[in-house]
Amino acid sequence: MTVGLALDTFRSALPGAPVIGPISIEIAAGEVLAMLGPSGAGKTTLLRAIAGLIPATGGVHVAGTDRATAAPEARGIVYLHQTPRLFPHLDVAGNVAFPMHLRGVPEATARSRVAALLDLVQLGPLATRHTEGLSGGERQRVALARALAADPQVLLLDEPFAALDPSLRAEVRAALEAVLQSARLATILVTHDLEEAGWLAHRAGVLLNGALVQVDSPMQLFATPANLAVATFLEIPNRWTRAEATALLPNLPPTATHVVLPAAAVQAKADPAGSSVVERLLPSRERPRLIVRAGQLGVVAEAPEGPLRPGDRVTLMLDARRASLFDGTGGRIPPR
Amino acid sequence: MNRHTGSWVAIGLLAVAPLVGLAWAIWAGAGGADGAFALATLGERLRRPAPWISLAWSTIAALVATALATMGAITIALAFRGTRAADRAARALATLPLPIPPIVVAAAAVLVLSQSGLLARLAATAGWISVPAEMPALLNVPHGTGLILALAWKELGFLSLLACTVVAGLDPELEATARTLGASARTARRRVLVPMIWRGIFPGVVAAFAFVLGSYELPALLGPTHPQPLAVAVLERARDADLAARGDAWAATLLLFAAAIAAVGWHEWSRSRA
Amino acid sequence: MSERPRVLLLAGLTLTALLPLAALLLAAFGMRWFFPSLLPEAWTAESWRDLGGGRLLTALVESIGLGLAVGVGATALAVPIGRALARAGGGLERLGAAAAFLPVAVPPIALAAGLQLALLRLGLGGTRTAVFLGHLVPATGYLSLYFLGVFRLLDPDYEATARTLGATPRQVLQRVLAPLLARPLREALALGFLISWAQVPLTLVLGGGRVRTLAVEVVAYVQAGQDRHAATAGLLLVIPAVLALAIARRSADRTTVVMT
Repeated sequence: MTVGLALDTFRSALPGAPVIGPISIEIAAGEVLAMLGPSGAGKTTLLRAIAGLIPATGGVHVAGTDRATAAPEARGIVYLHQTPRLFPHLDVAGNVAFPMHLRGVPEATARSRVAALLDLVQLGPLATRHTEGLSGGERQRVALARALAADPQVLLLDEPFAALDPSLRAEVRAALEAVLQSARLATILVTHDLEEAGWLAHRAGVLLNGALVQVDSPMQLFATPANLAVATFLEIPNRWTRAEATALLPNLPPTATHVVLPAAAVQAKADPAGSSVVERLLPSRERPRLIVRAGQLGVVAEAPEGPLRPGDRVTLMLDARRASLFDGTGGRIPPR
Repeated sequence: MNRHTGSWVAIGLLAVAPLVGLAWAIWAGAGGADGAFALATLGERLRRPAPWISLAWSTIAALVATALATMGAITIALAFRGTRAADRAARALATLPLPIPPIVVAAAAVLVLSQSGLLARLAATAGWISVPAEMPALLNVPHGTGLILALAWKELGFLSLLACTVVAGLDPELEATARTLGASARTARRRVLVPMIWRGIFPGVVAAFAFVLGSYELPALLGPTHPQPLAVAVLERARDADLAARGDAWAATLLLFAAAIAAVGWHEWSRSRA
Repeated sequence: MSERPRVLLLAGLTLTALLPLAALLLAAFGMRWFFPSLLPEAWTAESWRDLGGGRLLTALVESIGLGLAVGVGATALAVPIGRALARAGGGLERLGAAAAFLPVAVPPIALAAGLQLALLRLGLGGTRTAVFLGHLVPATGYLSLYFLGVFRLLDPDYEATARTLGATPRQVLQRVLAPLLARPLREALALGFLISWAQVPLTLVLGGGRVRTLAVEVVAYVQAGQDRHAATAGLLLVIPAVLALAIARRSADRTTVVMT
């Protein structure tokens, strides 16, 4: 594995911005790390600090070379804003050619590269268009093509889909996938959309209050949240105190103060003699979920095949092995 | 008709004044005012070199002054875009000439730039010259240096205000974007900020050029007598007792109109593109 | 940018602002100011005594009177014009704006040609009325564009909102439009005043040399080499102009900026 980007006790404490780090992590060339976190956690600050746009301490290694003290233009890192900053005085092709003009790439070479890059993001016909008339999705794709034209080793994407209409996200995601396949970039994709992270990322990290709390595969993140705060951020539905959970999960280890149980680990089965009652149905694109009243507790459960209505009685079956247990400090208790 | 009829009549009257002037200039320039209207007369007047030389001289002076002021305005807007006291002081100093009447600029230019003016006295105090004649003549000379400097100073007030407004409204993230795409701070300024400012102030630059081209006070007091700046030529002929000279003035007025209309068209075109 | 060029630039700017001002002050108050001395040998307020009752006072009164009349007249015309243009919208608005822009953009010297003809026919050649009407044309054109900008920003929904809240049209005017327009009106009066205050070619042509404003007197003084009077009148001209600097700065972003 070639390391594309390595951060070593990386830290940024700028007045007026969230304190970041210390963070140490390696991202392979060709790998996409999704950076998740609530707003205000410091995701944008982290990207800007890596790009050298705000001061930071610690190591920033790009393809093996220390760039911590290099100017933003000399890091091999391109940072893309949430709303792409296209230069309004240049047309689409001019924007894409901008980084090549900076390096003095011969005009003919630059022109054919621009054409190839615009084809890559499916914008070939728009080369001579003014940037003003472009849609949000088109602007993002131009910005992606322009970023590639700088030949970076690292790509930092700041919520590239957040400002887009849902109908435009697929086209930008396709362009981004094409871009990521065409160059072996180490990429950090900042997002608060878990689904987006699942589509594109090899690994996902959770940034809470400036600290990188957990880095795992996106699936693993849900299965084994590192602490209660991560589980809360990921909105894993059934988060109970020991007292609340004890009726449903009687055999908790003595140190466990909190329990988190994904909805998929709770099955509801229609049972006229059951002790729990369906309170409401939660619509979903895939399998619908239920909120079930079990004594004092509202439990989110997966719905069985076949219709259930509010008021129906059910029996709950819990898969206790999939429960995450946390101790008094909020830390995860390893499974027995 | 709606209840705004009066307003539309007033707008019509505003536009009519210059249009009547244009019609009158054509008619009188063709000898109509002397009772002998003939387009050939106008053609003959327009074939004389004098008004064309005046137009060319005025155009070049206005171009050079506008270019100087534009470069100055962009430099100032970039150098003093911060919020410190020095930045604000510099911006205030640069915009100072904006409200000063041109005639006062002309009077002050005479007092500063003439061969015995304040500048010459400073040069004498420094020991560079000993008599006024050693001071290079800047005023009322064919190369028009003093006039161009005074025009540029007056324009600087307007253009630096515009440029500072544009810079204040620029998205600071554009510069950051250019940096991570590989531009040094200097290159980002040259390839992103300067073109953006230029784009923002261009209609203003055209307006300033048009204003300077048609202005009277500064060329009248600071310009050369040969060649005579166009606006001065027009006004002097128009007040001449000799009727034939007045006819010449009307022909020259047509050139001034044409230059103004070209500048207005350019201005509107540049605004529609901005 | 590094500090050194900035310091040099700031010094240069200070000099360009200071030299003309110093020259005007020295010439206005100095006596026996011979080359190559930087300062005059003696000081005098002689030309200022003229203000007690001489040519300078007459010119000052003439300029102030004209300026006030033009400021009020142009504002009174420009408010309804700007409103009509803004409410018209579309092509009519663009056409009207172009018509109002014409007298602003055409050089005063060329504008004077058309006006002189009309005013002579009306028997007003060389009168104060002719000069007033002449100044009124570019001032109204400029202020119409100014109020077009003001009314374009002024959401008509304010009026609708006030009406649905129970305001009569008269109350809308008193309690909504008047407070909203108070600052633009003050700015417009000042700008209209300044356009007239600084005007030279229109005054020269339409006044036929008989209407002598302060600005026109400066031309005569400079041409006659009467530096002290030229500088005195120049300083008098600058005072209200510099007072209006803040106003001009604030309205600079709207339409085109007036370059008097």
